[in-house]
Amino acid sequence: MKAMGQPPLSPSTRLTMLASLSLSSKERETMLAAFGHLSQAVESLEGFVSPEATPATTFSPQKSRQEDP
Amino acid sequence: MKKDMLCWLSIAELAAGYRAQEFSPLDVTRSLLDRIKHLDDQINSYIAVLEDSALREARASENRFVKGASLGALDGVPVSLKDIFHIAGVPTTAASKILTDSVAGEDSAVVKKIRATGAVLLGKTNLHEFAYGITGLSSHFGPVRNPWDLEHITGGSSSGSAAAVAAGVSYASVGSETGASVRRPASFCGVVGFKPTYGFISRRGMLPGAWSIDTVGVFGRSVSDAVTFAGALVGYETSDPFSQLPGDSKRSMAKHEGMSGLRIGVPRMYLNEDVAEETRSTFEVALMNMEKQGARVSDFELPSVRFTAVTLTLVSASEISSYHRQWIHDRPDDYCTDVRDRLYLGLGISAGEYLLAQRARRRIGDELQEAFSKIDVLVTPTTPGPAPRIADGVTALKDRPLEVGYHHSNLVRLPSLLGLPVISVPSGQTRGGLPLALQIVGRPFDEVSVIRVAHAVERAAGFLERHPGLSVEGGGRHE
Repeated sequence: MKAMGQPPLSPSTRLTMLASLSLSSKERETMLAAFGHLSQAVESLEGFVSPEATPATTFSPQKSRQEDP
Repeated sequence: MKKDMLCWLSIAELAAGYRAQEFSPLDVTRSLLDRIKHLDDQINSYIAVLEDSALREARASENRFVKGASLGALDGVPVSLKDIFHIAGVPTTAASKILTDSVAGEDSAVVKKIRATGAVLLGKTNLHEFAYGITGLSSHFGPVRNPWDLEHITGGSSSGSAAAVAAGVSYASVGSETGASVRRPASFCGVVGFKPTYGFISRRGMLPGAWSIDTVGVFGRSVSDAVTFAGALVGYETSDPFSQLPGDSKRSMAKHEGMSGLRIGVPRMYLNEDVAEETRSTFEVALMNMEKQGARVSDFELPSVRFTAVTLTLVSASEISSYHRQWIHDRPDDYCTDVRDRLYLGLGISAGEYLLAQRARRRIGDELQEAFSKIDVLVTPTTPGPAPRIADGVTALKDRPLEVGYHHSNLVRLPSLLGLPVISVPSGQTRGGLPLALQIVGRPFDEVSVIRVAHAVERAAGFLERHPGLSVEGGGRHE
């Protein structure tokens, strides 16, 4: 699915968010791979919830007001 | 009755035996403590066995029965709970090194409820560390093994609770779910796992994981046992901001049977190649039995559900990592490796992405709300296959937490993400004797429909009289 919102953070940008944790080189390698999957997942979600993909009406204010005592 | 058969009685049979004075709560509690001593080295289901207090509680229960003052269905029934719930004066370890000596100051809401029923608290069960993993193998207190075959995993995170109930060393147990942590081990261990609607059972005094998802659930060997136990734990807790309870909840937790007219949806498009052949065929037989009993079964398309696994992973990883942020900085080496990696993943998710996932969660919920205007329950296999061998590693679970698509990993996470009531019921066994199960998912607060289907599945499966072949000599092979 094509992303409609912001591009996801890159795996290397995500790794900088862990800078204070002093990861070993093996851990950095593991997390870079995991963050690659995460970035792809985020990109898919952007397409799923983008304004273009959202139905015009998912909420009816008039109905809600009527139900509100 | 022979002492070694007591452990397989139902909760209702225990209560009847107590009333008829065939055996006493003290007899039964001693019998289970003895069984734990002889068997639990094999499965490692308990972190702490509270022998002294359990015997005291059993004596008190026995006195109530002598005086004709029983507290009800659970009085004198030995139960256990996952070691993330506080018991005053006892460590709440979460199976971690970090909390090994963290003694609770007061009882959790669940423990208060258990005490009010007169049930006997046998001990605290093992789990995947910090309830953050799906195998049950990562625990500071050692891995939990499947009572049906010790070479197979139990599933997690409530691994010890499922194994204890399956092995006959607890009649029921309390667990919790963030991603299927009651249903997955229930499925692999051949017991019933019941997660009511989000907030139905208070989490006060439970160590948090993902606060917008975590739900308390229970294990029992039968649907009746699980429902009886869960029914005793529900209740609005004013001090718990996530607690919720509609007015007719007590009615809805009561026993309901019969399938006539129920509309059952099957999201068949998600039963992809991950689903094992025996799981698939057992599931189809169960659906045919539902139709024979008057239910209307139909395939149902839920395209938004293909984003469920990813959405739940983003929300839960963000929330759980937030809770652990100080420890993961200060004591990273005190975590099990797989748990530490998951916490790192959560720390690499931005606030904007977390909110994106919450929006996705809402959209998936909208689709389910629409679906539940046309069906009463969704039914799917609980897990894509039976419990994998420990030696085959986590990949054998065929879990896809970060993949969008029409795969089973979405189905197991759907009730957790949306807080829906769900129950996993054994539906058969593989040719090799490992349990298989299906899950029944209902609309929020409609436990009635879920339980109705569960009773019917249980009757048709004929699984209730089967037990793991554990013995004091060891073995752990199925019978």
